[in-house]
Amino acid sequence: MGRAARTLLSAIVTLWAIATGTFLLMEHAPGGPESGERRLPPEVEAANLVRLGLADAVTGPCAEGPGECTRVERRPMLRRYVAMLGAIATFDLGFTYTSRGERTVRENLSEGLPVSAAVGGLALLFALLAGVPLGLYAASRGGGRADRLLAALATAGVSVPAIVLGPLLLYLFAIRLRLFPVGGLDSPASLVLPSATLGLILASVLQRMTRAGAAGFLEGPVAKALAARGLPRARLLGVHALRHAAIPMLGYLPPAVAALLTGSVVIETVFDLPGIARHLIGAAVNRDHPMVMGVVLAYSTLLVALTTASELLLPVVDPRLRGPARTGDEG
Amino acid sequence: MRRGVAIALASVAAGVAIAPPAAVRLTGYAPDEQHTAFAFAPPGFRDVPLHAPAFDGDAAAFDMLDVERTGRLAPDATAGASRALLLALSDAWQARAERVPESAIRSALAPWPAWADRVAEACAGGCGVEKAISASRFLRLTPSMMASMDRDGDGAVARDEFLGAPLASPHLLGSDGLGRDAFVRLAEGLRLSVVVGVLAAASAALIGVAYGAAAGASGGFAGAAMMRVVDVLYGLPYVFLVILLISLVGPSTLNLLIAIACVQWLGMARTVRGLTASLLTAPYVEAARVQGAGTARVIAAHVVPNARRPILAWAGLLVPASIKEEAFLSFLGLGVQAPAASLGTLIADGAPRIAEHPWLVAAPAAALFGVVLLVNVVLETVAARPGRERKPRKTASRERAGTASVGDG
Repeated sequence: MGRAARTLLSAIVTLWAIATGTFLLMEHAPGGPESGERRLPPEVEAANLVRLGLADAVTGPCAEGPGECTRVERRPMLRRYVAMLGAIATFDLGFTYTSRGERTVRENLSEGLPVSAAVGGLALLFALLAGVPLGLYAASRGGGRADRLLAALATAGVSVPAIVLGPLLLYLFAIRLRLFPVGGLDSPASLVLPSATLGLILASVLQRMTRAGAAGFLEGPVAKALAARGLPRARLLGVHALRHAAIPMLGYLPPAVAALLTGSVVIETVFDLPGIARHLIGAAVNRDHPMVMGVVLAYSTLLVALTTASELLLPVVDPRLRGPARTGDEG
Repeated sequence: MRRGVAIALASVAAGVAIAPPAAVRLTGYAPDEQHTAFAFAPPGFRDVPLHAPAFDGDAAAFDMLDVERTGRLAPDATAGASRALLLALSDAWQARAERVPESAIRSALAPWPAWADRVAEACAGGCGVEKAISASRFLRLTPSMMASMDRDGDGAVARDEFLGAPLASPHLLGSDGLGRDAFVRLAEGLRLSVVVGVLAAASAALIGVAYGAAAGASGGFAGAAMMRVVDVLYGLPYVFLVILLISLVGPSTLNLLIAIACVQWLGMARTVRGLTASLLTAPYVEAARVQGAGTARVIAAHVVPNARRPILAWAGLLVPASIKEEAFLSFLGLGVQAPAASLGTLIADGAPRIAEHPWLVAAPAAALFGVVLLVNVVLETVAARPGRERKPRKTASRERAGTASVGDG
C-alpha cells in the first residue's frame, strides 16, 4: 500500500473512532430523548421515539384478546449505531432533536461552517504570513536587537489566552475606536478582529518555531558551506533555512490547528459569530445527539484533514523521509 | 540564579495563596457579599461593607441612634431606615441620576425625623449617591455587626459596647452585577485558577510519566501500541471530546481538573517514552540489572531520577497550559461553577458588558495574562541558562519524523 493510501486510511479510521467514541459517550450519559425522564403520555412518547428513529412501530398479535395491535419497539443500540454510521456516510444526520423536525443537522452546519472556516482560515493565513517571515528575519539577526524584541513579543503572544486577547481587541478597536463591528456577522469586516485574535496567537508560536529551526540551521556547517560557495543570503534564508524550519512546524500543525479550533469556540462566543461553535455546547447540554455528532465530526474532519495534509507534506519538505532507504541520522 | 527563581516562584505562590484573605482585610468586603442596589459600581466607588471589620469610634452616634433613650440598641434598630434609604438611593443609581434630591432622602426617612435631618444636612440641596451612602453610614449597622459588638451576649448593644458606624470602603476594582466587590472576587478567582492549574499540571505530569515510562520499558509491540494511542489522541480534536464529556456529566471543579489532566498528559508521555527508551541502554542500567534489579526498580530508581530535568521542564510547561485550559473551560461555563469564581468565569461574566463596564473584564484578563506570562518568562529564563538546554519541540518533532519514517519502511 502506498504512503498516501495508508495515511488516508488512517484518517478514516480516526474519524470512525471519533464517531464511535462520541456515540458511546452519548449513549451512556444520563438524559436524552429516549431516557423517559419526562412524564409524557405513552402514545406521545412512542410517537416521538418513532419520529426520531429510535424505535419502530411493530404490528403483531395483541397480548390479550384477538386481533392485530401496534406496539412500539425500541431499536437496540447496535442497530442505532449502524444506522448512525450510515447516516454519517451519506452526510445526512437528519433533523436535530431540539428543532422539532424543522431544521436538519446539515442545515445548521452548512450555515455555520463557512463562518468558522473563514475565521480559522484567515487566522492560519495571517499566522503563516506574519509568523514565518518574522521568524526567518529574527534568525538572520540572531541575538540582535530586532531578534530580542521579536522574542519578547512572541513570548507575550504565546502567553496571552484567546479569552484575554479577544475582549481586548474588541474593546479597543470595536468599542473605543469603532473601526470594526462589535459583534455578529454583518459584513466581511466582522471577521477581522476574530481572525486577528487567533492569528496573532498562532503567529507568535510559528515565529518561535521558525526562528528556532532556522537559527539551528544557520549555525550549522551546511549553511556555512552554502554561504561560502556564494549562495545569496536571501536564497539561503528563504529556501534552505525555511525548509529546515518547516519540518518541526509541520509536526506541530495538528495541535496548532486543534488550538485554533478551540480558540474559535471562545472567539465565536466573544464576537457573537454565527459559526458552529455555539452548537457544540448547546447541543451537548440539550442532549441533541444528531447535532452533537454533526459538530464533533465537522471539527474532527477539519483537524484530521490538516493533519493528513501535513503528514503527506513532510516527505516533500524533508528528503530524509522519501523512500525506504534512510541515510543515517544527519539531523 | 536558581535560588533566585525558586524564591521568586515561592513568593508568588505565597502571594496568590494569601490573596483572598488579604483582599478581604484590605477592602472589608466579604467574597459573597452582595450589594445589589449598587451593582456595577465603578472602581473606587465607596460603599459600606456589610461585614465591616472596622468601625469608626463616633460615640455621639449612639445617642443619635438611641432615639428612645433606653441606653440599649436592638440588633435591628436601624434595619428599617437603612432599607428605606437604600431603596431611594438605588432608584437614583439605577436611573443614573447625577444627584439624589434632598427631598427624596427626607421622604424615604420620614418615619425617623432625627436620622432624616442628619443625612439631609450632609446632603443639603442634593448630593451624589456616593456622598449619600457615606452620610448614612451610621444606619447600615447590620444585625451581624451589632452581634459582633455585643460583648456580653445579652442580645442588645449597650452604650459602652458601641463602637460606632462601620467605615466606608472603596470597591478598588468596582463591583459586579450583584454588587460583589471585584477585587475580592479577583483574588479568589486568581487563587482558584492557579491551584487548579498547578494541580492539573501535576496530575497530567504524573499520568504522562507513568504511561511514558511503562511504554518505554515494555518496548516491542506493546510499547508501540501504547504510543500509537497517544499519537491518535494527539491528532484528535481531543478538547472537543472533553467539552462533550463535561457537558454530559455536568461541570464541577473536580471534573474540570480531571478534564485538563486528560488533555495535557500526552506530550509528557511522549517525552518520557523517548527518554526511557534511551536511558534503558545506559551502562548504569545494565549494571543495576546485573545486580538483580527488576524493571520496575530500574525505572523508578534509575531512569526517572536521571530524566528528571527534561521531565521537570515539561511539567513546568504544563502549568501555564493548564491555567489557560482552566480559564478556557470555565469561560465556556464548563468549569468552576458559581458562587465560586475563577479567572475564566470572571472574564465570562464581564465580557457581555465590556462596553459599559470594561473594568470587570480588564482586571481578571490582566491577571490571567500576567500569571501565564510570568510562568513562561521564568521557564524561559531557567531554560536559557547555558548547559541546561531543553528543546521539547525539537525532540517531539524529531520523534514524529522518526515514527513516520518507520511506518514508511
